[in-house]
Amino acid sequence: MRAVLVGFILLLASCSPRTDEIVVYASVDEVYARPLFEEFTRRSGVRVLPVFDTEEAKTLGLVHRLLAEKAHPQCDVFWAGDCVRTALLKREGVLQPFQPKAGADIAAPWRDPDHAWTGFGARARVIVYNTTSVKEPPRTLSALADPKWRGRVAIANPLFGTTANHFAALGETEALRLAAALKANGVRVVGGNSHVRDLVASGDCDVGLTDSDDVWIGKDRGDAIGLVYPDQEGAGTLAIPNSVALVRGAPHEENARRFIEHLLSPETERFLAASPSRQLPVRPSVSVELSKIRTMAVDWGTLSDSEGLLDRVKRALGL
Amino acid sequence: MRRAWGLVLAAPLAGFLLEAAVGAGRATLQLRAWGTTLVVAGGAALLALGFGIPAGAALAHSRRTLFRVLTLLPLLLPPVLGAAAWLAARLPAPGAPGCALILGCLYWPVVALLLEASLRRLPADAIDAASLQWSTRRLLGMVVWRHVRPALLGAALLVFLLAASEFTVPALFVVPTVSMTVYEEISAFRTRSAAAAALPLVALAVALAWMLRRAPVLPASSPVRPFLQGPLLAAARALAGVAWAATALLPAVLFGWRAGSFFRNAAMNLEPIGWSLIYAGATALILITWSSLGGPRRSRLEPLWLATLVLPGVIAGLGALKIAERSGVFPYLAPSGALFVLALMARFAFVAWLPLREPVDRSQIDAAELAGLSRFRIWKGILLPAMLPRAAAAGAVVFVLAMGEIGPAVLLTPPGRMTAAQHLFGLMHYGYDGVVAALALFLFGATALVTWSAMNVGRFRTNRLAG
Repeated sequence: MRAVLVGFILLLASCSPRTDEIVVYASVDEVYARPLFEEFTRRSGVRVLPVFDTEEAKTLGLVHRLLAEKAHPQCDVFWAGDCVRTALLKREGVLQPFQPKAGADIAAPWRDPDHAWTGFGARARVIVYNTTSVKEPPRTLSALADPKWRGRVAIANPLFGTTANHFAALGETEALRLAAALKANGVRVVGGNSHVRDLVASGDCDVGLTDSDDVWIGKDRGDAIGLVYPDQEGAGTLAIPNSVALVRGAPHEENARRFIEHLLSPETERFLAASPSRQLPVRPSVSVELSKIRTMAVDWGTLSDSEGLLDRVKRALGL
Repeated sequence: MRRAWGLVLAAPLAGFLLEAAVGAGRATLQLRAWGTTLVVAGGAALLALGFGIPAGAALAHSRRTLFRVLTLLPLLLPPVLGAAAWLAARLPAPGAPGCALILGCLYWPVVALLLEASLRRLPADAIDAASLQWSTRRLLGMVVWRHVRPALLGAALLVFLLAASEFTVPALFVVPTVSMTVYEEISAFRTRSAAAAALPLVALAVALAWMLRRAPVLPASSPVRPFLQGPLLAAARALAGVAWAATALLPAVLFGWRAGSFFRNAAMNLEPIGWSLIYAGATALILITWSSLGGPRRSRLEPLWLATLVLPGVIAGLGALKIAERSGVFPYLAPSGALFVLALMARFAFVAWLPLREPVDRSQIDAAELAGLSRFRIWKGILLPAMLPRAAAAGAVVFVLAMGEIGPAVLLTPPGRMTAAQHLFGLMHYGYDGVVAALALFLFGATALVTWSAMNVGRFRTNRLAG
């Protein structure tokens, strides 16, 4: 028994990370992150060791890990598909301020005022509709509660991911009003944003609330769906940027800084914009598409403390 | 040494309970989630009884390995594959009854196997005497039913617990069961609320551990005295055939149909497949070594190991993470993956322990000790031959369960070493149907191969000795 244990420990110890590596915790889609990691490795010779969250646990597993590892950090860089949990990590003292040169031309709404994180490549929260069955799609979130869409609207679980961010960004009054109205209209709540898209594409639902990248991926594979940026005459559409942050006490800090500079380069935004997810560059010099959309003004720090609100949203939706 | 490891394996659960004691949140019972859980887990238990009883009877009247492999397959597959099969079949969102259907289709082998174990211990003289005087119906009611009742009750409770703690299926379809609630509360950093939601599961697990102390869990090697024949036996076999076809063959066909270029897709995922094999192999090897050493004995820690098995996997992961951090061993164990393996071992300790806790009758050991045999010779000459087939079977079960485990993987896999199940669970949402189907097929194939090999260890050994 002892021999087996010693052998096992030696085997695992031999797998310890090397110094020419960098550990990145990424709560973004693996399929888009991998090529960027490989490009960084090609340029720098530094191997990226990623940890991805599962879709259902978006960011939760990684945030718990980062909090538990606070005294003994294993991670160098946290790359999230949003900035709400990143703001939470800032509040908990897990992140180290860093002002990357490559992010100097990124405007204030897309970065933390204390330089704990920097945003890039945004996704928008959009209304997806079936182009075969819907000729006049709803243009506002409130319109999803119109009786003509009764039982034909889908949203993702409001406790996780960008749907949680969206309800939190609406604020207490509007979020609860929308949730109650959707519930009354027979909304279907599913596991993730891609399920929302699939329900709409298959005709099981007519419209839904999802992320822009999910819609573009569906359109590329031939789904009969379209998207609307909601509330362009009102509060605006929620645009959620990726966020990247340096972890306090990162074991490979120098590599981490190089990686963040690499990730914040205009090339990354161009890559994400050209990828099937068609993310919206936050730099007007890369693309003006985002500046054409009226976006919501959001305090990401406030959103990171919205568990109570999301519980109430969950109850309002009857979950 | 064995006892010390037994305590280590209870550490993740202790770690979670410690976090719950000092954590945030309120200790509420989550009655609404338990209401949904009753529908999901209760429905799964009923379906498992419906499939498992005829299959158990058919298994007891057959000695073919193929039927046992087909029976074990659905149980050993990650439940997320059940949900993947549902999506692959383009079925509508299932709701609570649909989740019960999926989970019942995955967990019915628990009933079949425990029933078979019980049937193989039916007293032959009682069957002979009863069959001379009574009709088959009365024989089934007066002898067989009374004999197998505790095993069926234990099996139904075990299915209930497994279904209640399963997270991936209700999460995919947003059915708010207690496992979802536990996950949501952990997500909101309210560990006390999460523990309160899971508390009834712990109580039920302790009750089940107590029940399983009396129910036989492994079949006797002797064949069962046939108590079914004619149309009744044919009906049992037909129903078992439906269960095998619906829960093992149909999903395999569905994934095969959608897998596209299997080898190309599988090759894209060689790295996660490789890490899965390493983690699962290490977990099975250490657990089987641990449970095989020493003589026949029971442990007072059994209820804790069973509780870790039937609670949502994320609890073992979070408990291991937190207790390692508080005890200062985290930097030494986490980067190598040892902490992940430890969490997997804690999850499946009961599965490895149960078949090996009493490999031979205590009287045989006593007789050998009186004859002056050393402990090593007793182990080599008496215990090892009895344990080998069971150890192979238990090792195979632990291996495939560890391959499909997602809860602890989310929190504990080292950087750059994602498992195949984790990869598959993530990819399901990106619409990469071919890759998902290829990975699912790989898990199917690995499960079938490992199970079939383990079941043939005993036969291979017998043939070799005879040769």
